[in-house]
Amino acid sequence: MLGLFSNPSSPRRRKKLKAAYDRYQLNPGENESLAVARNLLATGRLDVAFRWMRKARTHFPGSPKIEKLYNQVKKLKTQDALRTATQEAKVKPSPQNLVRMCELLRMSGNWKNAYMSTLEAQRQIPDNWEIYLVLARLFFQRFSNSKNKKYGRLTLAQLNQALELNPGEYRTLLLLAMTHVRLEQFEEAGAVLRDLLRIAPRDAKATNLLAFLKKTAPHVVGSADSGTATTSTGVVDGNLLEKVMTIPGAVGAFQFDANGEVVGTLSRECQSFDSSAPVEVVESMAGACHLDTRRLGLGELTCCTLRGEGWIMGYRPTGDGGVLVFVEDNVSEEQIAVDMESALGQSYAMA
Amino acid sequence: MRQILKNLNESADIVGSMVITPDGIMVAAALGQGMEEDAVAAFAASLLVSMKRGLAKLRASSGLNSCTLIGAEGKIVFYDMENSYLVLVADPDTSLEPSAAAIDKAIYEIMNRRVA
Repeated sequence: MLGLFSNPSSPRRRKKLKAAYDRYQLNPGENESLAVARNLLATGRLDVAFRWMRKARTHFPGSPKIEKLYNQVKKLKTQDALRTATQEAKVKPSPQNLVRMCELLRMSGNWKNAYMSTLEAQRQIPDNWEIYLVLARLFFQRFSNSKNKKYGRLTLAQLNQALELNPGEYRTLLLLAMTHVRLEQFEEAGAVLRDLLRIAPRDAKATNLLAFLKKTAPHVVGSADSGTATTSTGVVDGNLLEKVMTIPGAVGAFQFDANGEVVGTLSRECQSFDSSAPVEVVESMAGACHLDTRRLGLGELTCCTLRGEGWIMGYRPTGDGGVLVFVEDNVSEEQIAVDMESALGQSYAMA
Repeated sequence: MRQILKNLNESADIVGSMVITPDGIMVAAALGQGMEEDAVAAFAASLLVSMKRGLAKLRASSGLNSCTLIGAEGKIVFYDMENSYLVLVADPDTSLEPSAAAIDKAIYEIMNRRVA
């Protein structure tokens, strides 16, 4: 599953890796697991080593040695991703490649380098809203660390530019609301939250921010609340999506009607997937699940799961449509099926 | 490779298994009776292409490692082996978690066999 032995760097290292893996097969202990990971690193198989360590964390939860090596491998993976992204941006400076490189630079913690590179990228793609968002995040980082309001105002400027190019974008609005709150501009924060809650009526981050505003500036909350009550994203059963989002690690949920069309979404900011992607994408995936389950002779679909590194996506038909959830976690396929059944059961019981 | 699949069928609680290429060509199969190998390979590949395309549009942070479809009459699981897929067929209520070691072993043997 992990592709342990494909394309190793040398026969000697391959032999050592195989020996480590054989030892692990005989005695799947903590040290044996660490030895396999170290040999994988020695063969240059960083991705496989990362996957191996993710698995090791679930086998040996709380182990300091496993945790230490996992963090080292994760850091190497980020650096590796940054190298690749930089190279790709150099060869093909498409907006997507440039944004990815800048975002990875920002995440790597080298603020100055990230800032300079993002400015340069902005020069190349001046009409790209995501570059403004990366710049805003950079200024917000500095604002949070220094408490200097100048950086807060710079964050706002970038976010407003991003919103001009892509109005109503969830991540931009969320950071805008947070920045206004940090700057104690509660009226403005309330107005942004009103927009945000139109897009994601039960978003946990927006709801938490609203709760904070209720305590801090009760006079502005009425307007934000009324916005929520009078707007709709077509969610036919907000309670259902809310329940699905209680699944540990859930970052996005989609509700489908009987025709397979998305009628409601709920998401929070995450690294695993882009919640602003067109809903037609998940509609098409859910449709393919139904169709191919029948074509494969398995009868009517009861559940579909997709797994990648650090995420799992689960789709379950309901009586009148279906629900899809995106989870950032290492839970098993069977666990996510159980979690979904439990969340949907609770929702129907309450209905 | 067929022997590896036969061994897997015996050690894991599954009905059958096969290896397919990403474009839907069957490499080896040890499926139960009544299952058309070529049809399963073709439909499976079509599904995986749809899922991969969707995940790319969703900008998923990593590629697809495995996919599980459960229907009223059966369950099918695909494991990515980099340039091929291991496909397992099981009864709908069968848990594959107890068979994880046997599945890992089969994948290791298939991939190791390929580079040998």
